[in-house]
Amino acid sequence: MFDQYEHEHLFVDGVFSFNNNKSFYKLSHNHLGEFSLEEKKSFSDITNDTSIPLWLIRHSLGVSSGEEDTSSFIRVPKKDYNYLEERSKELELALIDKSSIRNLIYNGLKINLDVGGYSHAVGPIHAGIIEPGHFRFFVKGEIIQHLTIRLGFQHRDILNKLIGKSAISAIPVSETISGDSSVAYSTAFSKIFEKAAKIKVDDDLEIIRLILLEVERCAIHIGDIGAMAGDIGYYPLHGVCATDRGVPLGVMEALVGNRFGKGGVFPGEVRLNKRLKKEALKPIADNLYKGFLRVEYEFLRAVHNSTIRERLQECGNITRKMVRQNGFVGMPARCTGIEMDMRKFETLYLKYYPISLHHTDENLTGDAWSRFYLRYLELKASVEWLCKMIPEINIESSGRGIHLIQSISKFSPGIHYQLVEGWRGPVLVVLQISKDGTIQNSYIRDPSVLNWHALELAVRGELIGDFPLNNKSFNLSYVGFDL
Amino acid sequence: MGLVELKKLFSPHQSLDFEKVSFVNANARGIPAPIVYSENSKCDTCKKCSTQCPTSAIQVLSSKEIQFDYGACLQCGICEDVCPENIIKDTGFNYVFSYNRETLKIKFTNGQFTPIEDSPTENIIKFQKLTSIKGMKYREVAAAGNNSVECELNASFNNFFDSEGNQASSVASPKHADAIVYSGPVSKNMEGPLQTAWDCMPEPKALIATGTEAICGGLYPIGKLPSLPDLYIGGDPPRPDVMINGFRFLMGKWKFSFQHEVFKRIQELRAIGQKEK
Repeated sequence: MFDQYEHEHLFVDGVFSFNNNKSFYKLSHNHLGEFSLEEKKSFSDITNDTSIPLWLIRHSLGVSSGEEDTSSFIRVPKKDYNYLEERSKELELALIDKSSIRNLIYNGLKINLDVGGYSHAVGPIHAGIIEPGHFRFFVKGEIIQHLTIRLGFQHRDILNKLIGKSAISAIPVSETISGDSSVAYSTAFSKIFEKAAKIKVDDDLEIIRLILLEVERCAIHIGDIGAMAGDIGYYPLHGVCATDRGVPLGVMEALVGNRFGKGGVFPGEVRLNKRLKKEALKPIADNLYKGFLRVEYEFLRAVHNSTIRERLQECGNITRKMVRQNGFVGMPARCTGIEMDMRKFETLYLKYYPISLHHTDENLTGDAWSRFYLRYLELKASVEWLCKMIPEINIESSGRGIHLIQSISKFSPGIHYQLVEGWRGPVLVVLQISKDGTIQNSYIRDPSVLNWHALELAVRGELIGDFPLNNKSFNLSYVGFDL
Repeated sequence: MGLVELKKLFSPHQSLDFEKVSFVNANARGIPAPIVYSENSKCDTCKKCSTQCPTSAIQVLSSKEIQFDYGACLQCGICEDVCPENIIKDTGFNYVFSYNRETLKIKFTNGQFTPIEDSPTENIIKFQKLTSIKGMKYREVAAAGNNSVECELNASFNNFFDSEGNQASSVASPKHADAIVYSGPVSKNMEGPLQTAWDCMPEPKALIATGTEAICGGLYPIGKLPSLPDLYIGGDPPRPDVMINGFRFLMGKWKFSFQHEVFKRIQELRAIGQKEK
């Protein structure tokens, strides 16, 4: 029954406006991976379209409106407290007037307090080594009734900074959008410029890009598994993961010369490490596999012999209904058992050795445990694929230079877009490129834009003490949201 | 299960020895330098390196003089790729940190330079009196950095790099901290929180700029800092061992001179180049 629905479902990827809000665009794709870019005439067309998640509109089209005062909206919380799940009420909160909507930047926040409850503000500077954001909890006893997340502390005005940049100068900027997804963003930017310049890239090069993407995924997944174990105080797994996260980072360093793959992917090229030799590839793959085995051993031991599973189950639940209503993407969508992965439209994954993407395990029920376990499944699939593919890297195909795109003077002007499945989910980059190959307008949507709302919903009814664990189970990007 | 723990207890520890560390990583790209230098180069007319550098860290002053600002260098290696005469080469040198901003700038005249010593300021000497034996606690403030520095700082606490074993640990509040480690170009919205964190720290205190973006903004304009940083650590992001050794350098536990070590590395690379000829 669910699958039937899934086939009719439209995945809205992004909403944006170019040219001073004169034209609005909605980018979406269906289950076959066919994209459509719709132009909308007015702002109300966007807000009336119920298929567009509200956070998407608030992120790209929202305006600053001073301090938010939601105290009159929030009624006394009851057990079935779900006003935010109804779109009309959600709109009521967000709309300033008919032509503008509130953005998600922190400008002060007023929340109504119920008798017996208290408000708990966290941030911008958090206790751990993480990025800044403002979280306002509404707690009764130990139970979170409501959470409001407001970000924007790291706003660097990237979208305006990109205007007028050429292909070569835009790539370093793209790598700073979210440092842990550097490869995903630089790949998306590169593919857009290749489309505009009509460069056909060798399959060998495309495969190196996919390899770098998977290495990035492995590094973060190992780190997250360890961090979640650390948050519930299970240190054997935490220790192993914290150390062996260095293995994929080391693989990345050996392949491109930077632990985060920065400076690796350029339009038309992949700049492999100059010190990389063909005979070193097999040991690199073996090393990665050994590192994975250490993590796997410790993971399975933790899962079988400790109460880690029971601790994580039924913690931070999200449902398929929430995913469909709010357009969650990436891991929060997949952890409920929905197969939503842009990699299945990438035929190159199948060319030599197929990667396993169908994780329909009975464990995937939408709780913190399912996100923990899904990371292991994805890690395992990626490592198996990498161990087959890394020794196949064609080192000669790497240009090891950045000259190719510079030799092209004619670009096809227009709006180009690209979705790349990073480890967090699909990252969307839309660029309007002029004839001479410079960027005129841009829109960037990190998967976190949609998924921050998933965290807000997931922690309702959970213990306040479990918040770090729930937050880590999503591990969203603050800086990719703030831009 | 117990046997596994017992086995681990007796196996040798895997952590890095920070006293015997190499400044050159086997795989990582490092800072560039004019290694191969000829008298009749056409640097003053070419200038490709300075125009293509994403952060304008290279300035070609004349046909003989070229200045590298290693504090602004992202270590991306583009200058090496675009140099038509193959003058600029990747040195693989990662240990980019100093007490003073000016020490990170090196002006090469005819491919040569005279290294200068890095002298600690009065505040740093006070800070070292406090921390050289007891170690330091720091508070990290992510000020619009692209979260790769945070990833590397988290990695520095694993059992290979072992930051806490080297007496640099993180605390939850700036009130308990000796130093503030900040990353990123300090966006407008983070200027206030960074200032507040700095103001509520007791004296003597240190401000540590971590990563190229924190030193000079990198690709972005740098915001208002609460004070002049006491330690500048370059790299995008700096490797965990570089950061830990940087902290040890600030605490006065370790002697290091950036310019002297770069000088040695360049001589070494030139000697290898001579041999290959």
